[in-house]
Amino acid sequence: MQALLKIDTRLIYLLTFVVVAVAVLATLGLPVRVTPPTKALYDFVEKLPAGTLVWVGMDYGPGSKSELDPQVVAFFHHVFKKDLKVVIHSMWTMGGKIGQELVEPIAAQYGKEYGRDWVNLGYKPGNETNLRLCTSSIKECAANVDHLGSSLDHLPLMQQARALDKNTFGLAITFNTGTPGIREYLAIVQAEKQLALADGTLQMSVPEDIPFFQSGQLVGMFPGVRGAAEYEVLVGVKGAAVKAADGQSLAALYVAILVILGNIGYLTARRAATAQ
Amino acid sequence: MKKELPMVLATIAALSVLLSQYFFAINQLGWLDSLDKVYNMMAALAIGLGLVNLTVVHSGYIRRKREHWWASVVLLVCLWGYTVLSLVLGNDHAFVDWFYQHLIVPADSTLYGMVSFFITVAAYRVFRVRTLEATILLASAVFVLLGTAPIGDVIVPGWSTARQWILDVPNTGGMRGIIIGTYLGAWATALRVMLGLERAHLGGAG
Amino acid sequence: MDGGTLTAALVTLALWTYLYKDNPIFRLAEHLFVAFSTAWWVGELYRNYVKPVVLEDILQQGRWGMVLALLLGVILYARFVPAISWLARYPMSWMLGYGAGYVLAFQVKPLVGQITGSFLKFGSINSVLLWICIVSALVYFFFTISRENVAVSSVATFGKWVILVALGAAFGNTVLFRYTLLMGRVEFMLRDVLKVAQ
Repeated sequence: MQALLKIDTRLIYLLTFVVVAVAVLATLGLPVRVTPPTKALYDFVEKLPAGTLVWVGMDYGPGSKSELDPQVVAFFHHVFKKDLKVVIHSMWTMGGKIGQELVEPIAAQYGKEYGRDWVNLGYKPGNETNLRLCTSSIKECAANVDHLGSSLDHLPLMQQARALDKNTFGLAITFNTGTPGIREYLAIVQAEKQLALADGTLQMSVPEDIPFFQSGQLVGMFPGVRGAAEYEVLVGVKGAAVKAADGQSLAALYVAILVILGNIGYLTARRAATAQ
Repeated sequence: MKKELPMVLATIAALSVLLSQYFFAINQLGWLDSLDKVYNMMAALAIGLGLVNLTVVHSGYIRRKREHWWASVVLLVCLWGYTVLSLVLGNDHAFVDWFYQHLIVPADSTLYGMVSFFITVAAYRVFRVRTLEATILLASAVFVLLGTAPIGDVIVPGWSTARQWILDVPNTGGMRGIIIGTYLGAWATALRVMLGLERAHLGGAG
Repeated sequence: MDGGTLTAALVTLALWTYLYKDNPIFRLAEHLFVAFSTAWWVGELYRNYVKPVVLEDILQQGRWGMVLALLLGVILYARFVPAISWLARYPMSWMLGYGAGYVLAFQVKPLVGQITGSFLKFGSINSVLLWICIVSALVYFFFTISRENVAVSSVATFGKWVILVALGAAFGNTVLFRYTLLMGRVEFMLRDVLKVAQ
C-alpha cells in the first residue's frame, strides 16, 4: 500500500493526458443543473427590452479562451436573440480581437449588422482610468476609433452610445481573468455609475467573486465554464461548454482518486511507523 | 531635488484624483477627463518599455554568451521584425495575423493549460490528512471539485446544491475576510505613495 | 494539414516537452512566444490609440495638452540612458501617484458594498452563519489582539477553519479551470491535427 506514496510524476502526467483525451473523445452527456448566479444573469437579460444597450468587456487573453469563449458565445446568442445592442471594449491587449472573432459569426447568424447593432472598440489602454473616461465619453476613451482604427463617427450605434452610464446602458458585463477585470468594473461601473453589472469569470475565480454576487453588487455571474454550460441549457444553444463540463467530470474524478490513493498510502505508512 | 520633486509630483497626482472625486465644484471642472486621457496615453507608450527592456536584457545574454543565448538571437530578430511588420502592415494584415493565429494563441493556451499537470501532482503529493487544518482544506477542495463538475450529482444527487452552500456561506465568509483585507492593504499602500512614504520606485536610477 | 495547423501543433508539442525536462526546443518556443506577443501588443497600441490621438486630437483638433502626454510617455524611456535615467522618475511618479489616487478615490464604495452586503436578508439561518463566518475570519486577521483570551482564540481558530474552507474551494475550482484549458489544447491536437475527434 505504501507504494501508493511513490507514483512517478511522469506517470501522473501521462495519465493526465489520457484522461483529457478520453474527455475529448467521449461524450458523457451528464445533465447540468443550473445554479443561482447563472439563472440570475439569464433572468436579468430576459427582462431587458429589445434595443437596450449592453456593454461587454472582453478582458482576457488567448490563454483563457477555452474557459471564457463558451461564456461569450452563449451570452451573445441570448443577446442577439433578444435584439439587444452591444458595445465591446477591452482592457486586455488581445481581448478586442478575440471578441471580434467570436461575435462576427453569431451576429451574421442573427442578421445583425456591425455599426448598427454592435460595435467593437477593441483594446484601449489605461485600465480603470480608461473605463472611467468611458463613463464621461466613449468617444474620448476610445480615441474615437473602433478595433480596426475606423472612426466611430461613421457608426450609427455610437450616436446612441455616448457614455457608459445607467441612462445609456441596461447592463455591463466583463468576461475577465484577473487584473484588470471585475474589481475595476465594480469600482467604476457598479459603485460610481450604479449600472447593473455581471461577471463572466474563470472557474478559478468563482470563490473570490461570489461574495460580490451575494452582496448584490453583481446582478449575475457566469461561474466558469460550468456557468457557460448552464447558460447554454437556458438559452437552448448547443455549444462547447456542455462538452467541457463533461471533461471536468472526468478530471475531477481523476484528481479525487489520486488524492484518495495518496492518503491511503500516507495512512498506511503512518500506521506502520506507529506499530514499529 | 532628483528624488523630492518626483515625490511631490506623485502627491499632486493622487490629490488631483481625490479632490476631483470628493469635491463637486472641482469635479465639475472636468479636469479628471483630461488627466485620464493623459494617463491613458502614457500607459500606451509605456508598453514600448517592454520592447526596449527585452532588447537590453537579451542583448546582454548574447554578449555574455549565457546558456541558450542563441534563443535570445531568435527572440530579438523576431521581436523587431514582427514589430516593424505589425506597425507598417497593421495587425489585421493576413501575414501578421498568421503568426497571431498559429503561434501566439496556441503558445499562450498551451502554457496556461500546462499548469494542470503541476497542480495534479501537487494535489497528489501535498493533500494529506496530517492535521485537522490540512484535513479541512483537503475535504473542502475535493468536495467542491466533485460538486462543481456534473459528475457530483451523479455520484450523490444534490451534491452540487451542497457545494453551492459551501460557496455561498463558509466560502463567502472566508473570502469576504480576505477581500476586506486586500482593500485595506491597497488603501494603505496608496496612502503611503500619496504621502511620499513609499519610495521604492525612486531607487536605482541616477 | 496546412502550414498554420502544423506550426500550431509544433509549438504546442515543443512547449509540452518541458514536462519531460527543460530543453532547447522548449526554450525556442518560449522565446518565440515572448517575441511575437510583445511585438503584437506594440502594433495594436499604435493603431488603436497612439496613432488616432496624434492624428485627431493633436493635429486636427489642436489639443496641445496631449503633446505633454506624449512627451511624458517618451521621457519614460530615459531610464535606459544612464546619464539622464533620473528623468524617468517624473512620469513614473506621476503614474504611480495617479494610480494611488484612483485606489483612494474609487475603491471605497466596493468595500462598503461588501460590508453592507453582509447584512442583506439578515435573519435567515444562512445569513446568520455567514455573518459568524465573516466576523471569525476577520478576527483571525487581527494579529494585534492578544490570543491569550480563550474567547478570542476560539473565534480566531474557527475563522482559520473558515478561511481554509474558502482556500480549499478555490483550489478545487482552480483544478477544474486548468483542466478546461488543457482540454482545449488536447482537443486541437486530436481534432485538427490527428483528425480523430469531431
